Amino acid sequence: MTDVDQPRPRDPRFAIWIGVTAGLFVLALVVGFIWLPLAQRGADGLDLWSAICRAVGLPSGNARVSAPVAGQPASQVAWTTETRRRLAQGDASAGAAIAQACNNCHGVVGISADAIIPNLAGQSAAAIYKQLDDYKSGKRDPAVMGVYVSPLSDQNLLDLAAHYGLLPNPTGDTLSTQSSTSTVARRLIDVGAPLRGIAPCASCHGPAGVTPGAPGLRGQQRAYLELQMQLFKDGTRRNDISEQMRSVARQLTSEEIAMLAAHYSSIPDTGGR
Amino acid sequence: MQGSSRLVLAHFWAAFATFAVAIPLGAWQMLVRSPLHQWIAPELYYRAVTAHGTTFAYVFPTLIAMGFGYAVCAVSLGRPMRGLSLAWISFALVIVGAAMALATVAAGKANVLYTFYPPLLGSPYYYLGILVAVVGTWVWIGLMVWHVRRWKIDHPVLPIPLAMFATAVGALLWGWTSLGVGAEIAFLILPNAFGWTSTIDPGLARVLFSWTLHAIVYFWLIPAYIAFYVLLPQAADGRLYSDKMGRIAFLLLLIFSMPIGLHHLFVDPQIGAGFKFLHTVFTGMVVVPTLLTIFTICASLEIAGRLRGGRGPFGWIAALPWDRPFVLASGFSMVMLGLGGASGIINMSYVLNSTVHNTQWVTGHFHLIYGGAVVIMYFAIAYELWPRLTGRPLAAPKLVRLQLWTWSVGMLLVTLPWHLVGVMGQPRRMAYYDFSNPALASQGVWVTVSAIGGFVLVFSAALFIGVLLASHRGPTAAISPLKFSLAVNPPRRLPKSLNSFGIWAALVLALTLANYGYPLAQFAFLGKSAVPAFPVSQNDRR
Ligand code: HEC
Ligand code: HEC
Ligand SMILES: [Cu+2]
Repeated sequence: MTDVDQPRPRDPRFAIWIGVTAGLFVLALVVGFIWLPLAQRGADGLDLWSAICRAVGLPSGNARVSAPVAGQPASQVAWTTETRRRLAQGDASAGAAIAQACNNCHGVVGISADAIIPNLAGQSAAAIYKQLDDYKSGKRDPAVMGVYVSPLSDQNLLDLAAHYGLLPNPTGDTLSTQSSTSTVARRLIDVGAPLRGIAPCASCHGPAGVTPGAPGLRGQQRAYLELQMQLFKDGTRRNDISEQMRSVARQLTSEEIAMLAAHYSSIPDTGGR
Repeated sequence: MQGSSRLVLAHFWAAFATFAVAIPLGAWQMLVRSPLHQWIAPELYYRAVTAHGTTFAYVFPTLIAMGFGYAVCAVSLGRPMRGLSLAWISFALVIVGAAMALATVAAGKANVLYTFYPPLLGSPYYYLGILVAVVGTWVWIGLMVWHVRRWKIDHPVLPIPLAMFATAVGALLWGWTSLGVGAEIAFLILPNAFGWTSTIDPGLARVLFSWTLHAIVYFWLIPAYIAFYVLLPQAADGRLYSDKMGRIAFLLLLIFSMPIGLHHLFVDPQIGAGFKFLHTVFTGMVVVPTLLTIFTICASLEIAGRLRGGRGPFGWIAALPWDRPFVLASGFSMVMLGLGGASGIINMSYVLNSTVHNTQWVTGHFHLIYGGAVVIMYFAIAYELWPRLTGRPLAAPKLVRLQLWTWSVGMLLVTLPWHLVGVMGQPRRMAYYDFSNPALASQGVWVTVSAIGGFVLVFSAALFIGVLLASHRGPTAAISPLKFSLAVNPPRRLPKSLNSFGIWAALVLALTLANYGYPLAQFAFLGKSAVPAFPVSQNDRR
């Protein structure tokens, strides 16, 4: 077999190219997994092995400094499947009986006569339950509500939540008389203010989406809404899990808060939560 | 065309039919989110985007690559293709799969965008359709590889013709890279869509998709590169500067476009920074074959220009036959490739990426490269093939030039403003923007410009379809058969490394496994990151 036209069986290019590629690979490994992780900021005193683990993305290698969890959780309620299962076990008629104690303030049908006392009719049961539990545990200022919830058992709270959740929503005639057409408010509700990091209210409070435990706002008492947003804003109310509402309210101006309260209190709650 | 004309024509027409639907959709999408239009229901917008993306990612370029592959196979190997019935089966699979996927999207049952975005979940028929289409292309891969092998066995010492060599590279590349999206659909999404699994791991899905996402672009690009190497020099009355350089470029594309997909996940918290760096390094390497190509093609064009009497350092450019569609299209393509390549280098650098990530800049980048530089070469290929397929000369050469001009101008009008607003911070994949917001108002004018560009593209697309249709009706004439460019020094013998794939394919395999092995394997032992799927656009929410 000495055909001159036969290609040479061994072609050195293979070895060269594969060698170069392999060399590049090794070089990238050394730089990317050893040199850079050791050289980058915050790596002082990092040993080689931890640096490699960090570059690989192994969480244990990253957790060199264990981050202390400061403070207490915002609420004792967590939106676990267990909580949801228990919520479904609320007994509305038992709740109606306990609610006798609440009617003076929140109204017989869950619509309060005083603008500073919230309506409860048609409110999401999850939101009511969480607030009651927060009053009980002191996570939300219990000055007014504390005495009414402290004698109640967890099952009582679930029953109350079921009861108020089933009452009909506020309708036109119970609504605040000044109807609002504020475009500022509508924009905040539908679009938010991306440049200030404000997500649209509608994405958490409905109708676009509902974050677990976020109360419905439509048809709520105006003065109550305004006060609560102010309390979130200045950090007096701090029972919102992960500061979801505080981080929104902090960015709102007092004028915007007033406009939002006027707007929400003027639109009927069409349900759909 | 050695008896495969009907096959090639079927692929091209099927491709252009989907093109004719998806282009107006694109323009409409740009219109409705521009200041020229009221906000619309986002659901409709995402439905259109899904249809547009699915068509242009999985259907249109795939059919072009397949059809062109068959043409190259028949012409360059100089003998009729075998296994035509398999080719038709493959075609049918792609069409059936595409129709199934697109019908599901049209019904509003899968507004998940072509990148799927698990845990978003649409109707299983959408994913199934894409899977069927992808499986259809595997038959084509088999046919291409088999033809090259058979030809090599019959011609052990001859070089594989460059066009076929490159087509085989494209086929191998697609075969390996389509496994990512195939596995994502088959093992993660479909079981969930059918209700067999209750959760889905978005991180794993993203890594698998990135396996496909970079190299798929090179699969789209390869027909255009083939056209540069084997059609352009001759269309300009010149010769290919170097055949070997072409082979090296295609092999480098094969090797380096696979193990780099994690550059799409620079902001993904589940990937270690070391792997991001590794993929960045290899991403840098894919610049090499593109530079080699630009160099070789410019040199080839210079040869052509000087043969036509051009003088001086730039005179040869003016001497080129710019009135010929192929040359004109290639010129535009080079310009757009240059601009898009530059923005691509910005995307691939870890730090700059975080500035442009998820902004309209990225959309601008890939429309410029793919919709501009690549698709205009698909047009050129079609113009070049049509007379050979129909036996009639191309109708209305003036309109052909107008079409190429409007496409380039339209694409630049669309994409340059996108780059700009992207840098201004405009996020992509949004159904509407609030331009009455003073902070966004300044972007409105640019978004308007790009929306107008979209309609220029619609005009150009209509012109394109019109010319092709008209060319079926002209008088028959004697058409010179399709020939591929001669190199200045046509290779008579080639070293094994430039005339075979086996070892290179093994290298790709090894390199991909090295670069992807851990990022994929980590999902097996790191904390559970699977979540319940989020069904979208289905009435029967689970
Ligand atoms: C003395 C009047 C009064 C009585 C009686 C009363 N509440 Fe309240 N309740 C208020 C006021 C005022 C607030 C809002 C301010 C605050 O947090 O203290 C409130 C807040 C609430 C909230 C939170 C609503 C929200 O949207 O966050 C719930 C739930 C609630 N009460 C339920 C009850 C239930 C159940 C009872 C009966 C067991 C009850 N309240 C009895 C005055 C009263
Ligand atoms: C990221 C989600 C989110 C967004 C966005 C959001 N909220 Fe809230 N909001 C919550 C949650 C959760 C609560 C309940 C906090 C708790 O558990 O006590 C809440 C509570 C409130 C309350 C108190 C209601 C009551 O009955 O006690 C008001 C008022 C309120 N939000 C108004 C707004 C307005 C107005 C906006 C838009 C500017 C907004 N929120 C945006 C999540 C959000
Ligand atoms: Cu890429």
